Amino acid sequence: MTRARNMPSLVTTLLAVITTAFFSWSLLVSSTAEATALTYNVGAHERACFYAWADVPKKKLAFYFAVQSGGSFDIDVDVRDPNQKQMLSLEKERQGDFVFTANEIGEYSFCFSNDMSTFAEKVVDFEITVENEKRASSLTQEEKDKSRGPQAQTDAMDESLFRLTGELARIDRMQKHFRTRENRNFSTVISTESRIFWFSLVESGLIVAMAMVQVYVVRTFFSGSRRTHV
Amino acid sequence: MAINVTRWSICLLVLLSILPSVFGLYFYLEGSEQKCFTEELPKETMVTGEYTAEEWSEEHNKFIHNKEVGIEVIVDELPSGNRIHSQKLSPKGQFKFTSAESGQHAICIFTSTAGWFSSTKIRLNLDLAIRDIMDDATEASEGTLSELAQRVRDLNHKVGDIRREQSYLRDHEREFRDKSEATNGHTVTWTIVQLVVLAITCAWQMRHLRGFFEARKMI
Repeated sequence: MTRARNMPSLVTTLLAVITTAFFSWSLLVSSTAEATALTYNVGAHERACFYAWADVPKKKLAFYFAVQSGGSFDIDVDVRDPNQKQMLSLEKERQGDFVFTANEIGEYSFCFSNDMSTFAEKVVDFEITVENEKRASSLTQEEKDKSRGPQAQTDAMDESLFRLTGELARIDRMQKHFRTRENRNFSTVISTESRIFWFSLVESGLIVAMAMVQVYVVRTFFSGSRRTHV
Repeated sequence: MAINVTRWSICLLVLLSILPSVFGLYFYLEGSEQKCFTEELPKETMVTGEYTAEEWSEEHNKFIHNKEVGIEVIVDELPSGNRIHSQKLSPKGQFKFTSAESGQHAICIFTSTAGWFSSTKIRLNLDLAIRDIMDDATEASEGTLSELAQRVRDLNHKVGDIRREQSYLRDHEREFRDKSEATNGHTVTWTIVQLVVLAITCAWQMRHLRGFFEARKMI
């Protein structure tokens, strides 16, 4: 009797252990942060959406975007949580750098919308990072044995690696900022060149036209029926 | 108690099965829709893209891994429109290509199995890396890496990305400087052209009017 009752509970316990082990293994194996940086061309009146999955609550989602070229270098942004509630809504923004705390498990959507342009395509550079919490002890027991050093050294290395990662991320952001500005400057210079050319042409045309009009007017003053008025 | 544990673990299993296969950025492709990404690549650089494609299945009411799905990747050099890479792939894997020239490249991904009217919805996880991932695989096979070594490797890759971005910025800035100086030169050129046109028009006007008045015996 006792045996029959213990069997189902054994199975369920085993199942629970397997699922927990699989879940924790996947957490342990995943890196500290997963970032994907892409550059996408949003056509006129197009709405392009990209998604990130938060499997555990309280994960941090970092979202960076910058319009690299097109029109007045701005775009509409819409970020929604798994319940379709709006977390962030921006209109005509040039660039942004945000960090959200993902309170719910599910699919978070990041949408770019180019409704304001009739024909201008916008090139948007964006990066979505899913950051895990920094774990208190990030080494398993075997790795601690393998490292063959005192615990203090490993901790110090861990700390400096973490700082290095942070500093490199800042350098990366700064570079992206410069790239965006540089693209804008380039676009301004091209526009200046084109303006100089066309305005010079139009002005020359106007000078010639005005000269001809003046000559014509003076001729009409001194000829025909108006001779008496001179 | 046992029933609660069972329910909880079954829920967890169901949740895990509907999760995207790779945690990261993903997007949806409807039918034969194409999604294109642009990348500025230096000359002869290898780019590796890892992806996982899942198809929406009506009977299971979730995204499943379907071996019949074919994903096609095409890479074009943007200014010239040359197609430098075209490949048909299985639903999960990686693709690699090497850029021939430095410049903008468009990497487009779409399903090759969908016909004109099919309404398959594909969820595509994508990760693009501008380096050769083969290096990681060969190093990893020499033994399981400790997490610290993995982090140092990630830092090395990041430094490589920063260096590449720096050299792109340097080349681009050189182009920008040339264009600025050309524009400056053109300002002077076109102003001189305008002055010449003005002078010619003045001379013509004076000559024409003098001829006109002399004909009328007013001068």
